[in-house]
Amino acid sequence: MTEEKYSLRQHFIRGGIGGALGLLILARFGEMLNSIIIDAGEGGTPSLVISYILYFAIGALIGIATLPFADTGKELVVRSVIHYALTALAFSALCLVNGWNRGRWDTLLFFIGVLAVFYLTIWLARWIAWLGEISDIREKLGIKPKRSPLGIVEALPYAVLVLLTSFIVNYAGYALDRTGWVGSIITALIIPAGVFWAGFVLGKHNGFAPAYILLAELAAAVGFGITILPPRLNLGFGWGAAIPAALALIGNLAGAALRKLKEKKAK
Amino acid sequence: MKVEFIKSPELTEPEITVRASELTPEVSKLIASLTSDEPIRGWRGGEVEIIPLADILRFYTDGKGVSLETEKGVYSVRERIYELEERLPKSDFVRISNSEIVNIWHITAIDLSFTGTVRLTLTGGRLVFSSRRYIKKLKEAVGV
Repeated sequence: MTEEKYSLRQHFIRGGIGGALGLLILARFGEMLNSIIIDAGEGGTPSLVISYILYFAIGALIGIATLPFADTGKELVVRSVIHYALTALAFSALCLVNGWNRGRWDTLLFFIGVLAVFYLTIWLARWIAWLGEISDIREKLGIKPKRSPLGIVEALPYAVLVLLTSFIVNYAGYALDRTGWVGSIITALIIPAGVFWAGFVLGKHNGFAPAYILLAELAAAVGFGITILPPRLNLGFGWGAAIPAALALIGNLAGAALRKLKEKKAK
Repeated sequence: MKVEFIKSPELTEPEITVRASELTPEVSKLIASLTSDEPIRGWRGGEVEIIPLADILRFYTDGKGVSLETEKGVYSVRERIYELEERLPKSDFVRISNSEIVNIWHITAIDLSFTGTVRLTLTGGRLVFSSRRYIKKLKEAVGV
């Protein structure tokens, strides 16, 4: 067995055990999250044994989630599609067993669609990291293209990432906890952190980009808007909108400052 | 171009600093010519030519043998790719795939595809492709 295959198997097993343990913890201690597992709705009583097997499968697939990114080109697309298809299959089975789709096929299809958006978000985050590396190489070789006005072109991929993250996190927060504050807290922590991180990375590779502040704000609003959920904690509109804008500015300024500091040290 | 000699008895070997407002292709070529080691012998039409490293765009293998390419044309090389990789100065040449080594000072553009494939444009418009696996080497070569 090659080192790569051995490592893959280890990740698969560890991920699987992690997934099964996750279910055990959720079922035992997660009072609010527990309702998702126990409250089967119209789907009937969930089978815990089948759930454990499916959670193991999903955990194992998460364990080997970096596999598609081990290569590039056609290989990356093929591996990503296979990984998504297997995850969608395991997730659909879990939905049916637990009755999360309330017996409706359109709801199940919607869930699978949300999963696809989640994959797209992960892929975009990875692509942005690659783009940052390429940007640094261009800079060292003196072949970096001239910056666009207000950094609008440079900021675009980061704004799309904010849009996708806003949609996914808002939806996941709602799905995990429809009535309580857990979902709101998840939303309030992850989205601002994502907006800050994207701004920071953008600043680190391209300097201060004022366009990002506006684009990130717009992206957060659209991300929340298309989720079409009851607004409990809305970071897209009203006073809540100031949070992504402020964190976009702070993150981008912090990244740009780090860049300046590195430039000074290099001189 | 201004050339200046500064006598520094404390130095054990000559030291050259290139100062310019920007790292233009001309400056890159100058640096490459200063840092290059012994030239390579290239074969074409039964004749051998001595080719300065600074003139070489890339080395590549097409299954039949190893070739080198300059702006003037393509030559055959007797060495294998892995031998060249060991011999060539690491600050100037970098392996970008199983079958190719490029002169980093002849890279004029780098583009990233949506699937992570990296396209390098060399002097004269020659396009070559690298995968993510080899980008680490390119990063090391340019000092990122």
